[in-house]
Amino acid sequence: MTEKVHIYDKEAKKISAYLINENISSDLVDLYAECLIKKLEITKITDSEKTLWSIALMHTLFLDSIDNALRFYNSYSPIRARIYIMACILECQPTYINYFLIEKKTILDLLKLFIEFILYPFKLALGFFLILIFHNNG
Amino acid sequence: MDELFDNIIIGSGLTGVHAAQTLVEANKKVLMLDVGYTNKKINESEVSNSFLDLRKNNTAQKDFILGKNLESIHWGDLKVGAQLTPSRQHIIKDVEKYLPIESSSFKPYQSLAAGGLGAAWGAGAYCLSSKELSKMGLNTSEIQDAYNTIEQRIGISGYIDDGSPYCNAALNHILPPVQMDNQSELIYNNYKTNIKSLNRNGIFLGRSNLAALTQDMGERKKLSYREMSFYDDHHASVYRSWMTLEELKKNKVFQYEPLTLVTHFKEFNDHIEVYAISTNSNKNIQFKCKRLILCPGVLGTTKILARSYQCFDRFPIMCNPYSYIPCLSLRRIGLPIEKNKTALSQLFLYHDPENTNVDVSVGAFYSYRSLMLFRLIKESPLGFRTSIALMRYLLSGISVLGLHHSEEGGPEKYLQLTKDNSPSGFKLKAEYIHTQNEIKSIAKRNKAIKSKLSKLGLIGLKTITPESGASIHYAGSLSNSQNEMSINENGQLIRSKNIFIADGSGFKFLPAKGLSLTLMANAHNVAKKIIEIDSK
Ligand SMILES: Cc1cc2nc3c(=O)[nH]c(=O)nc-3n(C[C@H](O)[C@H](O)[C@H](O)COP(=O)(O)OP(=O)(O)OC[C@H]3O[C@@H](n4cnc5c(N)ncnc54)[C@H](O)[C@@H]3O)c2cc1C
Repeated sequence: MTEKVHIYDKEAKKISAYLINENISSDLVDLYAECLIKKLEITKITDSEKTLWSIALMHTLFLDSIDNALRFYNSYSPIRARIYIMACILECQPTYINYFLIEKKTILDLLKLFIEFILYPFKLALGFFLILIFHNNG
Repeated sequence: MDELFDNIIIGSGLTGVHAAQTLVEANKKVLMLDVGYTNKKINESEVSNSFLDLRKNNTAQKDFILGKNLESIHWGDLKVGAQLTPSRQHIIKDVEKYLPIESSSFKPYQSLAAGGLGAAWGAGAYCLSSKELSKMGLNTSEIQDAYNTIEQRIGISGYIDDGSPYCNAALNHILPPVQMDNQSELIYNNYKTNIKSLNRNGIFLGRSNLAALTQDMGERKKLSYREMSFYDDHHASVYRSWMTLEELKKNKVFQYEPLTLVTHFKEFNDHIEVYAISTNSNKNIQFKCKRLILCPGVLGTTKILARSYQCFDRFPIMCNPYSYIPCLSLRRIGLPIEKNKTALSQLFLYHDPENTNVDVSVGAFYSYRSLMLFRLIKESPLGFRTSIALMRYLLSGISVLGLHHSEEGGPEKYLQLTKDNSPSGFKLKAEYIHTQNEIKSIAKRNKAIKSKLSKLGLIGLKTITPESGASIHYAGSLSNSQNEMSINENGQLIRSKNIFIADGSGFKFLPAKGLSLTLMANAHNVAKKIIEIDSK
């Protein structure tokens, strides 16, 4: 693995942990790195979001909160573009199909969704707080 | 090339191939000039038995779904072609380079593919009513006859129900309808339950009329419900123009010249010279013919004609106002995924409040699944994690209603040739601005339809109106009969002796119903007229 891919290793794993609670293989990290490079024009983190991005990578809760808040603050931010690219990659992996398609209806699914929504306002508030402090508006 | 050809056809889209087929069947010699980009894999891409199988088992599906160069990942404003899957991206290849359009209000689709836009069409096949046809300036009985010829060539499946007067009443050999999936069945049953109130409000629902086989037809096989129609052309079940092109190529009187971008022509007393650029070598090439038949699509025809006659005036253009409404069926959310279904539209909705069968708005319901969640989650107001969890849960209850409205054109809807430094040296400037009254009436129409979706068991989530051009139906640039840049009832350009137009450029009105069946029928009729003229 090149040094560059090593850099992506941490973020790829953090993003996948955020999206589907799974630790992805190194093949997928490579794929993520390759995709980021192919889509450099949308994924290059701007100076104003550099600090925010490092904070986001500290903990999945921060990543989650920042993603939620950026949806309103700057929906097409490179941070969200990176998360989006990982979501696209994960959706195309047979291993993770159950995170994207329902094969059996279970109460657990509904419960998880319910919890997501209960926590949503708190995450949104935390996200805005982090943006307020760490987003550099120059 | 010094050879003098009898007939040159420009373009291999739905219009070009059907004009050619009629001529070839009458043993007329045809040379077809086309840029003709292909994706060979699309015909053989039996990547998987079904979309679900692909999703579950194919570890290399990323290239197929996202594209080798991530062509399906769009971020920010949607570009033309955003909804095309990677295997269909060739239909818009090099369009910006060779067919540039400058506009802030009009984003049309154009194609340089073998088969044109018809290489990706949704196969919705609508017969227009007599009133619509006469408003378009077409001969009703001739077009209705031609519908049957085209039907026999391409195979159309449908059903006799409330939708019939709007789409298939003129057809004689209709195949059994495409099977409905559970979501469509639910909507259809709700329609039947609430039929009186819906009809009173001008809403009619019918099973779709599709150029998709439900019975084998020669080498083409019936639809196998793999849910991959947006991705491949498995067994040629869904008709696409390249299929006719491949058949034509087997004929001795037909010659195909791909990688040829026609720029303009010059008409002489006894022949026409056609000028083109080879997209392979960038060299200029020249052809000679007795008769030229233009089928490069309405925008293509306008550009070639304007350039040939050095006409920098404004040409009118029509394109259907288009919106789409993602809908949710509460009864179906959280249900497990359904196997064997088709990605094609299974239900057509008609809004005809005056019961005229002219000013009708038309909707097609699409199930969303095979376009994947990644396109949806981007539109959700939530973060991606919550969006994935939510959309996954809602997926079986989601359908998208694509809504077209009819269009009559207007002074601020035009195309105009200007010089530039693209390979052909010219580009089209375009504007497409609706009047305030039109905007109001479209919004009213959308609202009326959305408010009745509850009677179909659906919640209309949001009405999304993309920029003009997105409807992918264009017409009318040569429809002003006061002008010598218009065409007569034979499809002949008024100012010329041997130039014929067989695409939608001459239509005087653009109905909301998908135009392609009428485009093919009209192209067949133009070719028939040419044969008649020859026989005199
Ligand atoms: C995703 C999608 C879904 C659709 N769904 C439906 C539907 O359900 N129902 C419906 O009725 N319609 C539908 N349509 C629209 C339909 O595909 C078009 O109306 C139809 O294909 C237009 O055919 P055409 O022959 O007029 O032109 P085109 O399809 O544009 O073909 C033009 C041809 O001319 C060639 N050409 C262009 N310029 C030149 C040049 N300068 N020199 C040489 N060759 C040239 C191109 O290579 C091409 O072969 C859909 C379209 C798309 C893209």
